[in-house]
Amino acid sequence: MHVRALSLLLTLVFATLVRGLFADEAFVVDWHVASIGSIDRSRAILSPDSVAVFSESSVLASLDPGNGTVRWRHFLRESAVPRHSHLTRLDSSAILLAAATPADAGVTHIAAWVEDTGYLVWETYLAGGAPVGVSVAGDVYIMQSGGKVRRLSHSTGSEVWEYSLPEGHSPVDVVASKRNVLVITRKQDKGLGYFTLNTESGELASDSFVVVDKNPAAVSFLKSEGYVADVIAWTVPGQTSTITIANLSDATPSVHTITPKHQYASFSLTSTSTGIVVTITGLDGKSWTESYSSSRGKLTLVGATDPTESAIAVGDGRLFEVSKGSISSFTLGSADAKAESITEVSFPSSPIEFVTCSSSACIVGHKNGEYVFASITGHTWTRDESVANVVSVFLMELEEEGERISLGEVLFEENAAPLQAYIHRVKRHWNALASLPQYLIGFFHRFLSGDYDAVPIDTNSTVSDTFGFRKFIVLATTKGGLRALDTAHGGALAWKVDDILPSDVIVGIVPGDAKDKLYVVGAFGGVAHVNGMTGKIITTSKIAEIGLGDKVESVITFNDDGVQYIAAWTAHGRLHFLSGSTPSKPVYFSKATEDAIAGYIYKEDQIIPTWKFTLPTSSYRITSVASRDPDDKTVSVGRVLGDRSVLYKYLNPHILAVAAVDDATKSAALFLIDDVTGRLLYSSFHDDEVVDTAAGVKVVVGEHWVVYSYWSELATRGEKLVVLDLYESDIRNVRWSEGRNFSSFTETPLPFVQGQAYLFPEHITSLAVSRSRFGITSRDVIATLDTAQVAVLPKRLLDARRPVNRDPTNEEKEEGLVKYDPLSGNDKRFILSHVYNVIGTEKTVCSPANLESTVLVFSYGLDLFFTRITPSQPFDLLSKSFNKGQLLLTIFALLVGVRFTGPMVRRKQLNIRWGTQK
Amino acid sequence: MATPKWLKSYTELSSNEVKKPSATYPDPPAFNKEIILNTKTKHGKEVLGPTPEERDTLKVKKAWEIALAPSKSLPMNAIMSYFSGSSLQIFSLTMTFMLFSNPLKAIANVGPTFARYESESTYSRILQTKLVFIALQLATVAVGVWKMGSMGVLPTKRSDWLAWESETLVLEKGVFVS
Repeated sequence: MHVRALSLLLTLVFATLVRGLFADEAFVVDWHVASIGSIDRSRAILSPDSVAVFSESSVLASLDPGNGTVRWRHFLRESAVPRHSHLTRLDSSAILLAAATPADAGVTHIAAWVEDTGYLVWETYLAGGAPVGVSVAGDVYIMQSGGKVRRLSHSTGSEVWEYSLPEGHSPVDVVASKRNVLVITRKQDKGLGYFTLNTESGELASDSFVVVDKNPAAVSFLKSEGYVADVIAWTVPGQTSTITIANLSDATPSVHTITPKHQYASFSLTSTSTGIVVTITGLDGKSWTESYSSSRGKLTLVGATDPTESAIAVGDGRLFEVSKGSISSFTLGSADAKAESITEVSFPSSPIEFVTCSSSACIVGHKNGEYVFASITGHTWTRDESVANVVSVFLMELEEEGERISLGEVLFEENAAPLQAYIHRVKRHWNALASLPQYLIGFFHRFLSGDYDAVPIDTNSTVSDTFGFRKFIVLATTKGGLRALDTAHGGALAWKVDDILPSDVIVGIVPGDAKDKLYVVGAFGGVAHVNGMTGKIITTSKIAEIGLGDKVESVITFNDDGVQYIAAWTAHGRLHFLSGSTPSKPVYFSKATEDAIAGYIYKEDQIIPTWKFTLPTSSYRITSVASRDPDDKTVSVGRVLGDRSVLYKYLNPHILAVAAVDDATKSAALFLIDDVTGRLLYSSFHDDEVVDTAAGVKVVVGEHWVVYSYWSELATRGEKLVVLDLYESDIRNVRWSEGRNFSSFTETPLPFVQGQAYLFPEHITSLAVSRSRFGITSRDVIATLDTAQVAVLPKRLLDARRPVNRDPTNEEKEEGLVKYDPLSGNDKRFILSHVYNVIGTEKTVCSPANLESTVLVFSYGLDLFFTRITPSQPFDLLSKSFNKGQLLLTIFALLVGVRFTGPMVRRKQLNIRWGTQK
Repeated sequence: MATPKWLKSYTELSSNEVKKPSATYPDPPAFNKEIILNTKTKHGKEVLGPTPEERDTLKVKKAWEIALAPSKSLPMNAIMSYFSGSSLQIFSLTMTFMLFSNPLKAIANVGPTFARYESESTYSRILQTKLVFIALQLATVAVGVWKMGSMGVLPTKRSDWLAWESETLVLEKGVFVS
């Protein structure tokens, strides 16, 4: 019998192996939020019909000015560093991005992109340093930190000429016009000045170095090109009352010093058709503009606005002022302060970080990560890019249906006087009737379609669906806010809180002592207790006893003897309990540093260092550490083999998997240590491989196994996926832990480790393991790939017991083993994210649904991706193709049959008894 | 009222009415007049028939036949069990079910089965046959058990008891601060 049973199981196994996402599930069970990341003013080009951005997250994107959706985007993490980049317009249809490459800051990657489509026009790599200045005047002129100035062809990117700065000059910027190219440099003994180059030949037009400022320390260098003036401006340290401006567009560049009406903190320049506009922010935070007309080598002040608290920006010939609920535009240069237009816009209450404008619209960047596009015609949209910078995530379970009434109201009805209770109940039922039509519609909808996703759930409610597919994903962002996304409504925003911990940086977010409560903890000791259903802040407090210069490094939550503890761990190795009680029993903590793991014991309200695990040589560094999810449940303590004997799992909950790389020898290593005693349980070294140490080792701990992956060039180029299965003993049916309590301090035998390596064709950026509600469902390993995909790898495939170089025997077949194939995951059906382009995901969290078969998967980083998986098939869920109609029809037909044949049979039996029928 | 002559001639063997005409015809071969004449009827009259001892012997013999009947089907059951394999099919499942249900039914009905042969005098001998009968039925059950064993449904291996094994209690609480 077991052969049959297991062959049935095996069929299931194979069915699982070829499992893919069904077409009707795509876009229904999953959703994706495409982000671009934080926008910097200097790397955003706004024009009336386009918005082009190179974000802090290395995303080059073009946004639709109509609705803010991403028209196209390129994730340039491999080729461009945002900090050393210049985004400019090449011509009316193309944009140009020059940036240092991440691999080598001495190389500049410069590429032109079609703005409408995102197609690459040309690209080239230039040695000679990061880009310092880029100027477009027909062709492209680029100055690099290595002292090179190059002219690149506008249409092909090929180099026309190259000029090297003479000794002693350090590059500042380049300004090109039709006539000549001005190379602005700084010389230690002479100061700030420029050379003039011949546009055609790239040779010096004149040998002289024209000094514009003798002070070599001129800083805050600014440039503005276009219209009648190519202008540079700079300041001298210590002088906050004057700005020096050089107009380079004249035949002999003229230098002017302007004195703004107040002392200033910062300023910016804009060229206009008549001259220049200086936008200045004063020391008191107020901003104003001063317009200067430029004619015949003179710069004359023609107008200035009054200092205002609102954010101001200069677009094409217009001044825009953003105040609380509106955006106003003014004509530049006119002395009267009468607004041309005032448009009502509801801006987020978060402080404004920058405003950048074109002639008819502005993008307002807020501190909370929201970017509002507002045109003077009143058209607005908002992009919330804070979700691209996530610090911590928690998937919060919602209330069960009816849970809310069961708490307060039922108690009232039980305790109140009978009449009152009766009236209350009737009222309650009457109120509940209001939702009856919706319920009935939902019921029949669900009944007919068998599709629980089809049931409308009120987006404003905080009630879970039947199967627990609806949860709130609470994200803590680097922008200091919280965002709750509704998993059942395509990641729609359920609630948001900005600036939850004022003047603090969020470190983590953990579930609180109650089901719907969350703790948000900041680096400087700020603690907010938040209602996770509504986003309401219940209390805020501060960890009082946090030391001077000490910072909270991480927030932890753990359960000991049924009590949930929440604690903050500080950089000085202190532990502060947040939820009041402290554990009475000793608790063992372990913490990873760059090159070691340290162990601590917490007892009698003190934390004492106990052990330290250091890596074998100093050239090793830890890239990742993983421990088993404390909520992961074990159903079976052993693994049943083909002959029905048992290999007992090594279920030590203290296992810490420490993955390290050696940058010197390009090797990787993995150590399994006990996090209570620091005892080394297992180690494995990958010395004879060329490991990509920058990518590091990704590691995850499952039930009794560890899976880790790293990219290496030898023996076969690819991502190596190694699985280690840990058993109590290599002898079958031997369980030394039987009938004993497990203590890390007793001399327990080392685990028997069975390992196997697999090859994965793509770079894996992170690993995660699925967790179902009761642990009966098998586990899947979820990997995010640098191909902008999220893949799933069944643990059953990543099995160390798969027979190598031979077909499995009958017993092995019964065990569910298939022949070892080194190439795993080469099946596109393993890709969970199907057509989504999920870029920049760095982490995945899994959370169980109410159904045992289903696990919710959420990947984040830059993009957000949510789906749900069924590692052992949806065994507790009727498939959508299940024919309910036929079932109902059959039952109906049977009922009718019984209704008619029943009397017939009764009559016949009666007749037989009377003997009137033969 | 005197018994009518026809009734007498029909009911009484010894009556003169049915008396054979005196030795006109020889008895058929192997006809033992003595046995028949020496057998007594209920009415105390002698009829032809076996003695009670002979009858008991006959009964016990018959009982032994019944008792040993299962032994005849036993080899067949065993062979069929062996050849039907260990797979889960309706045939082998029914057969296994029969291997249990039939003997158990037979054992339950052992009293009525042997009641016909039971009497004061044969009690101890019939008990022997009953015991043998039960033993043989149990042997059939044993074949069924073996069959189940070969199908792998008997909890004889460690894995069958795995679900009852509980996780080891861990004494220390370790927390990794990530």
